Amino acid sequence: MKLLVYPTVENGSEQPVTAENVKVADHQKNLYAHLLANSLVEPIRKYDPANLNIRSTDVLAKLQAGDPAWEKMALPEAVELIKSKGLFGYRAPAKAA
Amino acid sequence: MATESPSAQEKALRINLDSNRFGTFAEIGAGQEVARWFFHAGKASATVAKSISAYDMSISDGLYGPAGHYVSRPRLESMLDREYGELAARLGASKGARLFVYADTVATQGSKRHGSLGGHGWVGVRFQTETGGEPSQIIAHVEMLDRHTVDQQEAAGRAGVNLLYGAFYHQDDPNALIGGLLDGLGRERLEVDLIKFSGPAFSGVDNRLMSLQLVQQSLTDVASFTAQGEVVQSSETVARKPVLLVRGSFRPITKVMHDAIDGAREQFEQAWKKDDIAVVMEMTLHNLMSGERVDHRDFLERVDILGTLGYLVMISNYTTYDRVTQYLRHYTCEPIGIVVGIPILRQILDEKYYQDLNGGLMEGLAGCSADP
Repeated sequence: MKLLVYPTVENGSEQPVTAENVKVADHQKNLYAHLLANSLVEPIRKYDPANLNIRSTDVLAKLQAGDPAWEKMALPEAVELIKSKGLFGYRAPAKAA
Repeated sequence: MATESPSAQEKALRINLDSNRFGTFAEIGAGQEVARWFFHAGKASATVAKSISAYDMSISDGLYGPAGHYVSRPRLESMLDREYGELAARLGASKGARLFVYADTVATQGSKRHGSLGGHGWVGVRFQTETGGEPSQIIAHVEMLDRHTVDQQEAAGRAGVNLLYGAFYHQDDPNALIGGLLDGLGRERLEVDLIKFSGPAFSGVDNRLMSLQLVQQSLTDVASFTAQGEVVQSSETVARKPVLLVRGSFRPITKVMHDAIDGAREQFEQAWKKDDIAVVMEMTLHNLMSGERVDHRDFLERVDILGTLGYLVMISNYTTYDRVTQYLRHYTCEPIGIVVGIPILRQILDEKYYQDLNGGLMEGLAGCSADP
């Protein structure tokens, strides 16, 4: 078994947190280094940096609030289904007067 | 107060006394344990048209056609097809009763999950709800957990009686039907990890919700269905395949998850030189709970999207990853990859996560070094 770890960005930093630079507790450092060295934990190396800020809770809040920004955070097939069937309490953006 | 469920004897007798029911019992592998209840209960002649156990492989092939696996869904379906076809052709509406066929193909001591310590089987009933009408059908996959063959046989018998009773008297309430499958048995003796309802009696039933019911009512820890909503057993989906497991709430699934899966798949293929990877989207019961209950509409919305995107869905009652990998290990020796984000990695490294394991974090991570 191996863990394949997708990076993230945290606390407004632009530097992604990855499986290789994540901080672990001092007493686990040797164990964690072993897991990494033997590829039992592995960073996912190919990713789109534009995705690292996406949080599903944020997507949900936006689609329920009528903020169309969420549409760029999901795949087109999912966006279409959510909008056409009104899933998860979807609210269409208010039209400009 | 809940009414006590009738015993297997009482259930069989009620069916025997029901002049509306007439049918065939076809059982392979654990004796004729279901038919036996009906013969013992009395008045069987009003219910049993035929009882058969094609025990020999050649005889079985002669009756039901060649089989890749004898204990399999295709074998069960060919049994139901042949026996129902014969019953309908010979009797038609002449008996004035609603026809049924009960069939099972069972192996004691042959479970992938429990090795030599358990059995498993496919069980099913095809039945009319109106005389001369189109039949409806329920099929299920069961694991018999008793240590001794004779007890597994007995459990298979009770399970069959429960299935027939549920089909005849709880067809309007599939949740109650599912709950009744363990009557007289309990989860320590029987697991039901797949159930599929079809036909006119169940036209309003969504089998994905029935999979959820199996986990919610604790008949199993894992139930799965395909992107098309077809309920499947793990032997049909992940057997002998490398697996990429993605656990989440998928409310909704975002671009992050796809990006992670694509990246992980590429690395997985490069590292292990494997293709034909089974990607499994796991939702735990915990992910699905909203307070004390599961919102079924919300569940269907999540899985509708996963289905549109072509994903296999697995509902589980596991909290820690070590338990889900243990489960998958029963079906595949190929590599298993778990796709996680940084927050979950931190959780996996948190000792609190393993407080129920004697070996703590080390036991939780042990699967890592033991697996290929």
